[in-house]
Amino acid sequence: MPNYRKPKQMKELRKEKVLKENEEKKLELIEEKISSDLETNIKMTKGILGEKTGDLVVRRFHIGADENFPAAAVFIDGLAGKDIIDDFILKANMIENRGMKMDPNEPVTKQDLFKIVKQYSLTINEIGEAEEMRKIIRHILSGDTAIFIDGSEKAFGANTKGWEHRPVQEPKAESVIRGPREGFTETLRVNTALIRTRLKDPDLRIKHFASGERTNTNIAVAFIEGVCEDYLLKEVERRIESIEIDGIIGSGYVEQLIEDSHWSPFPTVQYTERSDKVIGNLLEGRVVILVDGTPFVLIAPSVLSQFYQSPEDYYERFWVATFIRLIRLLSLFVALLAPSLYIAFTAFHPEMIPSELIIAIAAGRATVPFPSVVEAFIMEISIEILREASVRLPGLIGPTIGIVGALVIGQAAVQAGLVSPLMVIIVSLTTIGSFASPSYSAATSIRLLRFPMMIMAGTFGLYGIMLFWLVIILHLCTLKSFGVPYVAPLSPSHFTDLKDVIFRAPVQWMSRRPLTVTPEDDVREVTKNPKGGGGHH
Amino acid sequence: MTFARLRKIRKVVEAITNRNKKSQINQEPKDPSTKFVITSRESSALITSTIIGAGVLTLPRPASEIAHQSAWLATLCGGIVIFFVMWAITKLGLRFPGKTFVEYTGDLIGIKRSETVGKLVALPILLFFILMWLGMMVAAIRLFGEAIVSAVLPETPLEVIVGIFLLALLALLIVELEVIVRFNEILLPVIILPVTFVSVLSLQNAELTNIFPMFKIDLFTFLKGVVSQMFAYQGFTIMLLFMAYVQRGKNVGASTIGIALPTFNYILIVFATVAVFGFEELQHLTWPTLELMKSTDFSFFILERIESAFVAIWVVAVYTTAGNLFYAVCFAFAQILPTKKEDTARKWIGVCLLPVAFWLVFLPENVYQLFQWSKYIGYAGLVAFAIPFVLLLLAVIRKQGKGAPRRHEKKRQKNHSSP
Repeated sequence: MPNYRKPKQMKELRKEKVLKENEEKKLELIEEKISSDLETNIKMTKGILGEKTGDLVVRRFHIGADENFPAAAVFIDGLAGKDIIDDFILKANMIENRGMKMDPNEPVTKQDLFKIVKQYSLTINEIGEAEEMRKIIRHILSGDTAIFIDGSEKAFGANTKGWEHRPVQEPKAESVIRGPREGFTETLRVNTALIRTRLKDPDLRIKHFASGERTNTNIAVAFIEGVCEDYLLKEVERRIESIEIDGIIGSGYVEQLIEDSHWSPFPTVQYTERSDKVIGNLLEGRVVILVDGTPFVLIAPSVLSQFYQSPEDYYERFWVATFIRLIRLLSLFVALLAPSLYIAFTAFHPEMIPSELIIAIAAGRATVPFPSVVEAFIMEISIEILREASVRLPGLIGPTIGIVGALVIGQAAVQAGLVSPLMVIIVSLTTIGSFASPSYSAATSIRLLRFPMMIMAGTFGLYGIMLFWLVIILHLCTLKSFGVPYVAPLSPSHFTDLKDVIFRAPVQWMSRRPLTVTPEDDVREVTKNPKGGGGHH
Repeated sequence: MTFARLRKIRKVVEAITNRNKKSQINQEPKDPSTKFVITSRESSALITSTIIGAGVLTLPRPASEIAHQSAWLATLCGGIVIFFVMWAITKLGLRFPGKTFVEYTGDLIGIKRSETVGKLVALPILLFFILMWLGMMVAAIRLFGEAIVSAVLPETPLEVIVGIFLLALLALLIVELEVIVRFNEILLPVIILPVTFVSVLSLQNAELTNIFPMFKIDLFTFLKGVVSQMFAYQGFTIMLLFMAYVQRGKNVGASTIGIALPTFNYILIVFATVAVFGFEELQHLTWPTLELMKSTDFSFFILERIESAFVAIWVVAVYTTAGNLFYAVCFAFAQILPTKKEDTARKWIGVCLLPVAFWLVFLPENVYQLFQWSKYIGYAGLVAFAIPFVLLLLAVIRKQGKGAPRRHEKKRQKNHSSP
């Protein structure tokens, strides 16, 4: 076999060499310092970003209408806001500072120019100064305008970010009846601002990272200092810093790269589009990871209760909230177990079903030519196809096709004797049940586990269902999310936390933050009873 | 800086200083020699779910065989005796913090000059426990397999049922102890509630004539009944191993709860079965608990017959019992072996033991023989109960173990802790 291996090795070596050369060429330019010559700077920028970059705009001008002071504004068309550049960079520097050299005794020199521009004529609030090419390129690529001034070894990166982005809209994937309607957008700055506007805590910290060799995606880690535990924060930062990948296109990349066990069907990092959910989690001492370019914000650590908890629970009064939470929990069980229980009961334990019902079931199944496992599989798989197709279908006809598919196919299948009517009921219940979970990723894992569960039910009946269920629970026990056991606070049990697990206690009871995420400061302030000390009105 | 801010900062400082006592979930090792801490509730759950297992399905029959009407009283007394054994194990564990039974027995028995002597003398004791645990596990699996065949899957061969069960046990074997205790704690309600539910509901058929008169037997027979009832509790001896990791402080309380829960459950089921069937009829029933369910009307509960559902749910109890015992067997074995990689050793021992367990499960020819053999394991258990006392006595006499504070020190600690 050595013959076979050798050419491959050569090819790889050559590839490596080419890559290395390219990298070195680029690095040479990027590592370069900004020179005092304007033309060199422009050349270097073009060298790094490519000679034929169509959207790179280089606007040369003279500061203060003086031939001696050439300068250039470099920005990327589309990323930078043109109005800002016109009004506050070009107009301010070209026209409004014409009186710059009125005093004939102290003529402006090229050395002073940088300072003068910064202090008198660059009317932009946020400017960065850079001495290396690398920094200024980063500025240009993130929508800032680079201002090179001839004779100065520094350059400005003026904040002119102004690309088109989606406005804040109602989140599509997680809708609630009561609660704010604002969802995150694709723009990191908008998202951090959404958090800041609702959480005016001076202790709120937003740390920035950049990841992805080529995409240079900005990642922000938000937490409340003094509430969030140090260990958790360090762990999150360590994992984000250790990401090495060429591109981060969505928060899903970050999620998969930092989660604890990527083999598990269960999500160990939560994601959300809702700003209120993020704030609730920040207040509980969790860490929030915002990724530029995606409206989905990650929350760590996340535990099992994410499967059925929604921010809405805390807006409703506690009886209602508890009831709704129980319904969601039930629907998850239905989504996981209903088809398997149907299989187990009809195939193995008909004696358990009340006699009237079993007669009806038997009558319905009389024409069905398959065993109940096959019947269930046919129906479950076709509903999965239908579900996937209805996501892809163009907006308007999506729901129509869904209804047509479900109703017509279901009815026809029953009439053709392929499936029993009860099976249709079960399949619809299962599908609807899996949508009751507020977390889509959690519901997906339940959807996935339904199939092996059905196989176990088809082979061993109830015994198989229980064994598989046990293995699932064992697996849940092995999971950890950033050092927090996935099944906490059920185990290791913490009684004070249990009031917000299945039962949602009145807000007055929750005077302490859940200890599951070990917050540094676990005291929430609580309103004293407004009625006062039992006085009569 | 406002006053509110200042107060907040002070609170943060306080929170940081109080962090260690604040949370159990933190799971930071309290003792440097242990890797993690089993919380007191977890240890109770571990004891309870190990004790309650397949035995519940047949328990009322041996219980009423000797003690007749006062079977439930014998169960209670058995539980109390077991509590004292558990107390000895707990105290022993407290004397040697962070050390398991395997590690300290050698030191305790041996002489100071040579460790090997102690280890060699301790070896038969350890092997005795390991074999007993293995026997208990095998008996539980076989018993439960028979119950499954008779109640849930009459047409499936026993070999397949046992085989799939053992395969599922493999999943439990490869995880860490930390996961095992969490698993036990989560499943505790599933183990406790069904028996309570069934026994309370079945009391609708109870007849007082089956319970009274209570003391028709003499004291000696009653004591014999108590001894035979103690067999049902054997599983808790695995705490000899796991006490090493239990959180210091509330150990005795945790052990008490761990014993009290199964005692309560056993009393309920024994009382209900005797009250419904009477002790004479009970002797002819192979699965008294299942018969109890058949005799009770559950029609309000949607399902027409509940015993197959019960046996299916009971997989949980048997899985935790067999799993914990099997884990203990492999854990102890790995500690005896002179290896540093205990985790890897444990997994391989488990994998190698599975076929042996499979063979052992089918060693008894029929259920009757199985009942006989479980009785022998029970007698072995009696010996096993004595060993912790002997070891504790040895430890006190030889003044070994640093974990136990002397009396006046204890007093001082108490004064210190009370504000």
